[in-house]
Amino acid sequence: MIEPQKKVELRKSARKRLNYTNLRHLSEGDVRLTVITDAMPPSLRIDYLSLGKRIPDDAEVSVEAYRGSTGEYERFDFGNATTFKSNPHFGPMRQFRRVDDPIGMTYRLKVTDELTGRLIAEIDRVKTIMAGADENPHEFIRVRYRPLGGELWRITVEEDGAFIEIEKSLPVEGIYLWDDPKFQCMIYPAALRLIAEKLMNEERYQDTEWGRKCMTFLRSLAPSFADIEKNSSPEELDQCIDQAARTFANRHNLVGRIKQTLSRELGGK
Amino acid sequence: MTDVQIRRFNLKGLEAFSHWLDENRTQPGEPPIALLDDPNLTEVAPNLGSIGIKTFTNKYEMGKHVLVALGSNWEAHINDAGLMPWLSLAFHTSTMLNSKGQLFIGTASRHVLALDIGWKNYSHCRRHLVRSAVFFIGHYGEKGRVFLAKHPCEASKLEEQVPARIKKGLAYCHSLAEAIYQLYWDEGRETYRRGSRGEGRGGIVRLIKILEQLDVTFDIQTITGEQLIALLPKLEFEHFMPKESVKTQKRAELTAAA
Repeated sequence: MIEPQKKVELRKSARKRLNYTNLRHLSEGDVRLTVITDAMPPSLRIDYLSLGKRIPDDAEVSVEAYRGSTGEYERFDFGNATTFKSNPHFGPMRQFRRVDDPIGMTYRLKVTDELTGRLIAEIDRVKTIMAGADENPHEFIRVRYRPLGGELWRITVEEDGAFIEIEKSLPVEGIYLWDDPKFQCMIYPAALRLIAEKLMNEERYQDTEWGRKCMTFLRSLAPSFADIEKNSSPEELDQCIDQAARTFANRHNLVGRIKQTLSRELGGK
Repeated sequence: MTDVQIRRFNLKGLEAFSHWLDENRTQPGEPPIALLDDPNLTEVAPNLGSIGIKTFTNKYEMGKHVLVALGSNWEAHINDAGLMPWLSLAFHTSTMLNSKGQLFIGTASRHVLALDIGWKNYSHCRRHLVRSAVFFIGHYGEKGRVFLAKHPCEASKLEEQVPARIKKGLAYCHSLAEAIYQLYWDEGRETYRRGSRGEGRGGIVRLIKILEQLDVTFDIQTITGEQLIALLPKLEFEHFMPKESVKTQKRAELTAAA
């Protein structure tokens, strides 16, 4: 009789043998696509794409958008893999030419060998974030690097915007720390909470351009923000902020991403 | 040939035309050409001029004629749900008369851009006779002939099979169109090669099935038509393959064996 542990080993080896072309299946945590719907024409942006070291630099990255019910199909070429390998947050954007309403479309990302057309990596049915042009947090939360007197990061809200400040004395003036996806996963929900609290409690921020953008973004995360009034209780506001932070974390799959990055760094230990 | 201003059906016009199609599906009566210039049922199509109305014996010719009238923005016009039915009725002597000269209407999706409301709003746009003709010539030019060699009232197996694979975007795949043209177009007879439209050895149905297998390993949108032909199983497709391609494949096999 085979012990359970050995059964798993057998299955793994069989699967490995069958993948004779070494096609790599990207996981959901490796890709983040955003569809910007309120601009005409709508656009598709690769917010994040993590390609392993084994992907050749000259491999071509493309995304196919398709919808079975209407037969709509569009293909976007995003150039070669080297840009994504050096900066997974590169964020290139392409406009839809054939599709007017991309809501409900399915997306398939392919990494292809330029010469032979062989697939090197792919993921089908990528979950996308639907966002209006003003619903990108980078629009109203900016990052700046300055000496913080011993703190690693902090949030500053001013009339012209909200800022995540990073200690400048860190390697590469703090950019290295900010570019770490783990760090961003930890910072963003907390930053969102602090900024939402400031915005809702201080009226002077609500009439600014960034304040309006931030409000639209918060409503897209927690629709109950629209019901918050001057005389709403602090508990009601807290509930809204909790919901927004939770939706943000789930939408960007922060836990899954951290798990995956950690397991990759620990090498399955 | 008479030139007329291109118009499009409004909602009332579409309703009237759809109603007529439903009633005449099995026992077709004379096409309701009075609808074409009824000001209550139609409006002038914006940004379009006039079109010559004549009878075609070949779908490719009809597609070419309509494509010229639609101009550079043809890709947007072929999805206009008011314009396509109007064109289908305007060319009724081609779209509603079969190759034997008998009246034939068929399903509504051949004449209107139909949505199957009952099941996921499934679109049957690709079955529209005029739209399909313009689509293939607009995308593939001269090579679109291979999809459109039949009478304008009919749709060939090639024309049906390729756009039906929506997820793979086969209808937009230039390498596939090129491969189909090289495999199945008989230049001398100006029609399809024998056996290309069937389900048998090397036919279009088998080609599509093999493409589904190749799609697991290759991005068929990025390769050339010749590369695609070289990937096909030689035994099955040899009698359709251009002779040079067979030679190249044999040479490649010999080199690999050596």
